[in-house]
Amino acid sequence: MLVFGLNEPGNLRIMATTFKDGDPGYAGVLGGIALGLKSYHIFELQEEIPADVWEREMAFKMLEVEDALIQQICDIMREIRGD
Amino acid sequence: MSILKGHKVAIFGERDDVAGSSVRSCVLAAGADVVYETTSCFV
Repeated sequence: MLVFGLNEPGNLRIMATTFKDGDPGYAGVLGGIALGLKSYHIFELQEEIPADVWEREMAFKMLEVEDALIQQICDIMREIRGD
Repeated sequence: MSILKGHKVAIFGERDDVAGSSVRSCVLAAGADVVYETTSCFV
């Protein structure tokens, strides 16, 4: 599986789509090649991470990001995984 | 059921968002096996 740390929705969508269904722009070597890999953003995985590690590595970074953007990121990832 | 525990993970971090090294620390602590990690800049 893939775990992303990038927060720009457009780039995130293209990368996650490429690793699942192949490059949507047919511009790279994965054009038309569906690897079927599941992608997650690290923001979706908080419940999986021990609290002390999350606090040290991620808590401040999440404060820097608008709640609406976090929601948008999570929605995009769920949509692409087909959850 | 854990999403990460025991799974092989490739990490794509971003320099100005969440760096790969931070994602690696998190997923390793959750029991994942990191097979690739990079931090890029998409600006």
